[in-house]
Order: sequence, then C-alpha cells, then structure tokens
Amino acid sequence: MRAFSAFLRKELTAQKRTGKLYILAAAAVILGILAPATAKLLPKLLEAVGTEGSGMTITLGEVTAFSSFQQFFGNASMGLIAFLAVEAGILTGEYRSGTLVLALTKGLPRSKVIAAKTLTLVLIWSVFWWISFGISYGFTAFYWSMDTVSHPLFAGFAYWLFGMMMTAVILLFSSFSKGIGGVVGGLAGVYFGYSLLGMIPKLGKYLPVKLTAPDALMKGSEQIGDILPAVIITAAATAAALTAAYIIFGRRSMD
Amino acid sequence: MGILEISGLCKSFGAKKVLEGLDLDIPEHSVFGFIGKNGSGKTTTMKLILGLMKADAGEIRVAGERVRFGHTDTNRYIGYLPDVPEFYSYMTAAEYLRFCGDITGLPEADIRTRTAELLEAVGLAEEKRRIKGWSRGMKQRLGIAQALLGRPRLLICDEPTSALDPVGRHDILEILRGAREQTTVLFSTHILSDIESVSTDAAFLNGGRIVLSGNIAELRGGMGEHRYEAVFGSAEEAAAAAEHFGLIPYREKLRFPEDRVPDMLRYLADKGTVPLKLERCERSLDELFGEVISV
Repeated sequence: MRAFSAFLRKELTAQKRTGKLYILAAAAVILGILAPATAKLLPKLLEAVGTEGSGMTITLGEVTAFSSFQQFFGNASMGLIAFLAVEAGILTGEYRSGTLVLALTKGLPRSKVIAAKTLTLVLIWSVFWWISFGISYGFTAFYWSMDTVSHPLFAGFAYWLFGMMMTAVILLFSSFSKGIGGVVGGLAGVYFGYSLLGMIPKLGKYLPVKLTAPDALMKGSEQIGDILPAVIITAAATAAALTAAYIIFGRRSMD
Repeated sequence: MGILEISGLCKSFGAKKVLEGLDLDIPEHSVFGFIGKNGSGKTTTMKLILGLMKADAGEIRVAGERVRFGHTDTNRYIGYLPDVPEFYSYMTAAEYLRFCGDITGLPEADIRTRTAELLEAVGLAEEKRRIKGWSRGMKQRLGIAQALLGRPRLLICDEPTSALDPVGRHDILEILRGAREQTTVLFSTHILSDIESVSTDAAFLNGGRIVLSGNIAELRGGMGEHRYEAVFGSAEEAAAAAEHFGLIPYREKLRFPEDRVPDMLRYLADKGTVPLKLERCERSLDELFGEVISV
C-alpha cells in the first residue's frame, strides 16, 4: 500500500509541477463558462449586428436553460480532447524517458503502476469534468429557469462515463504502444469506430457515443431508460479496457 | 552459492540470436566486470536479470530466488544503474530518493539517514535544485545513490562510465570500488581499463555466451603461457627480429611467448643486438579481449 501511495503521490506531483493541472483547470473553467456566456451574450451581439443599419434582420428563438446545456454538451468534445491530449502520454512518456524502469527495478509491482495511473486519470478527469459541468450548471440555473431541461445531471454523468471509457482507452493503448502516437491513434480509432457504427440505426442506442449527444434526453423525448443500454455497455467497455491494460502491461517487455 | 546464478540463458530478437546459452555465477562481494562488444548482449542480460524482458530459455536466480518475467520480487535484492539514468525532472534529488525509499519499503528513519549519507557520498548534498537541467555526471551520481539506497545485495551498473569525462569517471569508479564492502557489483563496460582498475572478477561475452570468466589476476596469467616483450633501439631491429621469428612488431617493440625466450636470447647474441629492455609483461585485458573475441 505504501508503494502505491508513493507512486500515486508522484503522479499527482507530476500533474502539478509539469503544469498539466493548471492547463486543465483553466480549460475546465473556460468550458464551464463558455456555454452559458454564449447563450446569454450571443443573442445580444447578433441583435446589435442586425440593428446597426446592416439591413439584416436576425430572428432568434427564445434562449433557455436547454439552449445553454445544449451549447455546453456541444463544446464538451473540445474539453475531452484537451484532457486526452494533455494526458495521453501518461505512461508512454515514462517508457520514452526510461523513468519507469528505475521504479520497477526497485521492486514496485507493475499492477501498482497501472493502478496509480488509472486512479490519477480518473481523479483528473472527474475533477475536470465536474468543475466544468458545475460552473455551467450554476450559471445556467442562475440565469434561466431549469424547467426547460430534463435530466441535466444524468446527461452530465453520461458524458463523464464516456470520458472514463476514453481514459481506459488511453491505458489500454499505452500498455502495448511504444510511443504516444499509438495512444492517440487508438483514441481516434475508437472514437471514429464508434461514430461509424452509430450510423447503423439499430445499433446507435447501444454505443458509447450515444452518451455524448444528450439533446433528446434533455428535451424529454428520451428517458433515462433509453440511455441505459449505452451506459451499461460503456461501463462494461471501460472495465474490459482496464482489465486488458492491466494484463498486457504485466506482460510487456521493457526494452 | 553466488548472489547471481545464470544458466542456459537464451534470448533472440526476431531472427537475431543475442544470447545462446549464457552461464554465469557471480560470487558475493566481488566487483564483477561484464565485458563485451557493443551489441553483444550485456544490456539484454541485465534486463533479463531485472525481470524486465522475457527469456526464451534458461534460468536466473538472484540470492537463490528465481527471477520471473514481469514480476519484481527479486528486484528487492538489486540496485540498478542504467547507462543513461533518467529521473523525474520535476523532483529534487532528496525528493527522488525519498520516493525510491517509499516504493522500496524502507523504514522512514532509514530513508532520511540513507538519503543524507548517500547524497554526501556522491557529492550532491548541497544540490537543492530540481533535476531538470542537471549534467550527465550529476545524474550518474544520483543514479548511484538511488541504486545503493536500499542496501542491495547486488548492484547492477550498465556502462556507468561510458559518457563521463575523466574526473566523473574516476569518481564513479571510486564509488563502485567502495561499494564492494557492502554489496556485490556487476558492471558492464567496453572500457577495459575501468575493469582493470576496480574489478576483482570478469567475464567476456561473445557470440551470446561467456567465453572466459574468472578472477582478473588468474585471467591475465591463465590464458596460455606468459609473454615477454623486447624493446629494441630501432624499429628496423624490431622488424628484423620479427621476421626471424615470424612475429609482428609494434614500432620498436616485439612481444613473444615464453617458450621462445631461449631462441630470442640466442638470436640477440648471434646478431650482437642489445635490446633496450627485455621483460616479462602481464597480459592486459585489452589483449585478452582481443584473444577471446577472435577465438
């Protein structure tokens, strides 16, 4: 347990001292503010453009809490990409530098390395996501009535779970890739693979990418029960990817 | 029983066979030089000992315990210094040693005392900056400190002096020489003078096998008969003698085996040639290396 704690502490120190934590904190705050700010300010901006003798008339629908959340989940992919870009090298960076070899030669079990890396990614993604979601939720609830949006918290949870699956994909591809290229390629492959499969109508509701588009859920045209298959499959895919990462990393040659 | 026993170790990378039945037994409290050309399999052998790579065949035992690929249990007996040690650059030396102590499971008080002792011993006690930007020599010193932190029974160093300046090299060799009192040192190199200056034992790796191993003094004397060297007044005199004996001179020097000494003395008397020097010479590891590699 002490070895695990020491390695986890090392991971968190690395996040802080290499500046990753600050970059992600800033990204989380920006992502959280952006959606309600856009929803609040954009109509005024467009109205101003349309009335300053341009001859244009811009007609906008009523801005509601739903619009703000719709905007937030539309931007969320940028936040997820930022998180993945910053953290994709969490394990391959150690292969490249040779720092991990020294830790392993001190008797640190490989299982503890993968566990500490997993926990670090889970913590960082969770804090990143919920800070950003929390800011967005707070501003939205402050400016608009929440009556126009259904299940916003469940929609947030679903996207968080999708992010969890992508962190598991980072670890899975890191367990056998030599460099960060393999991890980035793996992440892109998984995302686009799911997106392509999503084009098959009957398959769409079972795929993890369903969790990244919660408009129907928030509008009320879908219920939580409609999302559950994708939630269960995403959770299972996450667990499978982590298990595979654990097994493959344990058998990886450190040359 | 040696601290490290290797038998029948084989390892290939694709079609390339690197180790082909390597056997090695390292006695405790020796400084064991592991000699071989670049690419001969020295680093591969070390990584196999550390359980970082999977052997195709053979067995490795450290302190009597079998090394298992992917498992790190036997590494608790080992301190390891890679050829280019890399550390978490955002840590200071003391923080890094503390991290190493924690993952090794050393008692708290021991970590504090060992950290202070070792940083003093490697000349980094006053260094408070983070590791980022350190020179190669400083990293090598910290590498030695981290390797010795847990008082390992076996210290494995992979080419520890290969990229250091003469002062750094001397310092590292002194540390290794001193470490012998507490541990057994296995260090690989292709700088044979390093082996000669600190090692008690050595093994020559060639063609994936150990072709010669043993105590350094015995190795020097044991490979064939003693050799003699005559230093002539001119290169021409050396060349003439070489032609007579069917040998190859080096400038005004000529080396020949012990059984040719009477013939050489007769030749010198017949020719009226007085050499500047005639002496028995110890075989250097360089010569020995050349001989065993060409076998």
